[in-house]
Amino acid sequence: MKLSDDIEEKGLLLVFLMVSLYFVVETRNFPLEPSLFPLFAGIITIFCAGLLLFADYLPEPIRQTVMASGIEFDDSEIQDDIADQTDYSSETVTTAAEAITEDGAEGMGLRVPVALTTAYILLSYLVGFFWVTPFFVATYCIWARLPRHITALITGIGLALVWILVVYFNVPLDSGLIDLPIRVWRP
Amino acid sequence: MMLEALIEAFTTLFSWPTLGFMILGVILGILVGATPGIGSALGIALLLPLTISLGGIDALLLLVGIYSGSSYAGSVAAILINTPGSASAAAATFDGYPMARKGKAKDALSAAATASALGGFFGIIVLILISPYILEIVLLFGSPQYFLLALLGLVLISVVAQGAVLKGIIAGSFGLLLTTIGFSPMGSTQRYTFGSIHLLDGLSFVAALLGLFALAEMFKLAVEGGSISKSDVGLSGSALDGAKETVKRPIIVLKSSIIGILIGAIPGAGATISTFIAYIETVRSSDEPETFGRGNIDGVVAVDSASNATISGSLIPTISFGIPGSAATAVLLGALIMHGLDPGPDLFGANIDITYTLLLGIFFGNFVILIGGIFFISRISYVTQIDSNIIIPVVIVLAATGSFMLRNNWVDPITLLLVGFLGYYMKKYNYSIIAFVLGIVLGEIAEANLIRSMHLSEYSPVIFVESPLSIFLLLCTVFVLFGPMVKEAIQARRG
Repeated sequence: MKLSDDIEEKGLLLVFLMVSLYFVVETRNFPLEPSLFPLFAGIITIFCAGLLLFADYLPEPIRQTVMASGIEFDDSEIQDDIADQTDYSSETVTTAAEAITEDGAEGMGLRVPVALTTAYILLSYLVGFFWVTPFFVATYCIWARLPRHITALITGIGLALVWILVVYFNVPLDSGLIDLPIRVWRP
Repeated sequence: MMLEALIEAFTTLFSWPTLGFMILGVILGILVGATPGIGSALGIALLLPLTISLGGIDALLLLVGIYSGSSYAGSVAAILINTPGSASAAAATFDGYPMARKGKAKDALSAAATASALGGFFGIIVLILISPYILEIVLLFGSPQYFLLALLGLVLISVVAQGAVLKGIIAGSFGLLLTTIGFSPMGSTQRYTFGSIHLLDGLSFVAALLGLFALAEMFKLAVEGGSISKSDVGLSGSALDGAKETVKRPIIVLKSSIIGILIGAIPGAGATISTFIAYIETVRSSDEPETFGRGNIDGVVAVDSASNATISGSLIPTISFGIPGSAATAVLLGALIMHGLDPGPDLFGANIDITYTLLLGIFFGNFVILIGGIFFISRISYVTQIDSNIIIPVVIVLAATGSFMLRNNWVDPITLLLVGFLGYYMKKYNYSIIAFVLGIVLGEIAEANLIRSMHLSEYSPVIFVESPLSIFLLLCTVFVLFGPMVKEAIQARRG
């Protein structure tokens, strides 16, 4: 495991730990009955996340038990079995099983999709989904280097989907916190 | 009673527009399933908010139609471009793609459709036949047992998932924890609302499902890159020959279907495992095992029979106890609850006609798969080659607006974003997403059962060990939880 992966995974465990700690501590403000379930779920999360977070500092036998895997329906074993009995090599079988991710386009990182989606939702909160959707879709397509005609088509599809929700499902997607002086055209 | 309920279900299913929604669901499922990177769980999750304006049974038939159609269509991309539409269709590449390369793409596609339909028919017939016995078992459960069963389900799913057991438990219990936001279920205490009225009704599990299955999946697709493989095989061969060849293999269909039902009924297992095991069993029992992997139609038949039969198997724990067998049934469970149907005795007692309507919907949906798979699938094969960068922004728009439309509450798109981000990292580091979903969907029911049990026993935990069934469930939980850890410890000691 790379160092950055290790830090990321520890960060994830910290999130679980901190959120659960807050939930458990806050139960002091509740009567007994409503505090039972959050206490129960919170303590389990804290205990398990704590064990995993500090697994490296545990004695070896306990560490192995903590890191124990479940009932392994591990594909690799099955794939070896298939490879033994058929004309396929184990490598080919594995590749086929993972083809969704390995046979396609090169990945483009997480930061931009997350930043775009966050901006999309926050701006939509301000002015409404209908007005932000075309900018979000077009920006994504341009970032993904899709051809212009595809960008235009997908932007149109995105806008049409939101328009259908506004007009036929009566969802107020054309307004947000800031009240724009324009509304969606309704037939 | 069973016959009356079946007749009522039959009448409901064949009324208009109910039948139309079922057919539409299967067609959408085929389109969704054939597109690499989009699976049944994502398809159901995206459509979930839109079904709120439909009647309960129409909505559920639309959603189970998607589930059923996509379970078959995953094989379409596997056969044509060697890229399975979903992980459960990975085994279909072994013989399906070599068949296509030999000029028998249509044979393989129609064999997959026929096997899928036959597996589906068999699975549903078995499920209908055993339904009276399921009711007898379900009626043995009271509030304490339901609470213990929810725990057992979470533990079972955590243990079946890959990676450390503790990660599965964290995912499940964290999901449970998130459901405690808002009013407590049997009182009026506000919990974790920060004084905001937007949080009084808690987090929307639909927004969370969309975050996990739509947003997290799209982030993953953006990072890893999706399939834009171009087909290097022509659509040649004979569709009718493929169907005929499948019908000539009843033993393979039957055996694979039984494997599918049995494995599907294990919470957390699902079609990925059942299809691999059905394939191995077919290779093992074949007289010519060396021909597998070179385009043996037996391999295609085994995989697709098992895949569709798994649906029936996974529905058993889902509708009887609320413990889903797979990611798609976890979302389906959310749909049941959203439309006012709690899993449990009602779905096998007072509401048995609804259960039978769903089962008959899947049964007759298989005819759509059969006809579509034999006569039309080659015409929509281009969807297998859609660039993932085209799919990603459209899915994100649908997920964001869908999360908002149910309650017009801005907390829901924010939930979508946060859970989507969390879900991405949970997937990356092998945390069980099904356990997380189960926690989110079942949290409120589990808490209500815990509180009810506490009321019944005047706050004595002894109620959880009073009946033999409770003790049995507790022992099962302990065994499932600590069994693998003890085994690992013993193996480590032996060196």
